[in-house]
Amino acid sequence: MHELAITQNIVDIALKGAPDARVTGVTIVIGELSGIVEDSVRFCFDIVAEGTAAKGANLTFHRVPTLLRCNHCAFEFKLDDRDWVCPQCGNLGGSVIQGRECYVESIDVED
Amino acid sequence: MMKVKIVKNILDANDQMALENKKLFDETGVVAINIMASPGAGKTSLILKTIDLLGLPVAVVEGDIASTFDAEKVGAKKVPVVQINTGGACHLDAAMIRKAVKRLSLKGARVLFVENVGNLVCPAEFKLGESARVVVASVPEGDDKPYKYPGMFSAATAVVLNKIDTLPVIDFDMRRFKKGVHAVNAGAPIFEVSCKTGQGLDSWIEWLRKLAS
Repeated sequence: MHELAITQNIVDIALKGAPDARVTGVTIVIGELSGIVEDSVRFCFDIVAEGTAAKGANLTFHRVPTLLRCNHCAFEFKLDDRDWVCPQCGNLGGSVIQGRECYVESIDVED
Repeated sequence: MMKVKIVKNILDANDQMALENKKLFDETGVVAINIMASPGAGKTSLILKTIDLLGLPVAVVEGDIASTFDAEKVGAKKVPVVQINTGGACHLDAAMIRKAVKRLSLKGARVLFVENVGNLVCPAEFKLGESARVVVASVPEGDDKPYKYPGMFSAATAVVLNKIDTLPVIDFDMRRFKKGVHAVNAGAPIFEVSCKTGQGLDSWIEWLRKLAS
């Protein structure tokens, strides 16, 4: 729901990364648990980047799956659709060790 | 074309401002509590009851998309209150809090309650400078909420389950609810309360006093 604000930040970060050049691409890393919707960011990007050096930049998303460590047996597993149940010991519950990522990894800049 | 490595958190600007807010709260000697819940779970009721029982000076920031109903209710308790209307935004952010506390007299206050916008998704992502994040759930919402909103429940410092006076008439599996909270957040205390009858509020108040001391 707040992708417009998120996208504004993405554009700001990209422009700061290349103060005097045209930004042709932005690579963004998004964890499954971050709640950020790729399509909404794409939609907002065209509006927010309009009139800036990042206009028309190509967006690449790397989605990071949620990785949990079981609270009972410490087994590490992907969340997928298993409702926080450990596939190793069958117990419910884990701590998130990956999946909250939300950052701009790199930008492509015109030479 | 040249690739430039950046690796910068998209919410960095907000996180930085949240740190500044936290610093201001620490200097003022006030503990900020971010109260998050779905609409109608009882955030305002919990704040109102807590003002009565806590026995410490309190200030309140009320966040809503629109209206000033909540701020009026809190204002009737004669505590400093500021209403933020986000005008459609689904969450409060650190910049809104910074602006709001400028209009609020924090002097002498020990606890600042920030009532976030009613929403179990977005507020979890935005730090405000708080010392604790409290998620209010309520019995009529159902026992499956921790499973459906793991992002919110896993980010909580504590969970308050409100409206336990309705347990006799609602199918709510307490074991399932607690199991869900602790599945995503093993250490979080759960306070079972009724803001209507006052049941269970004593342990919540005790927890808050410890936090503020």
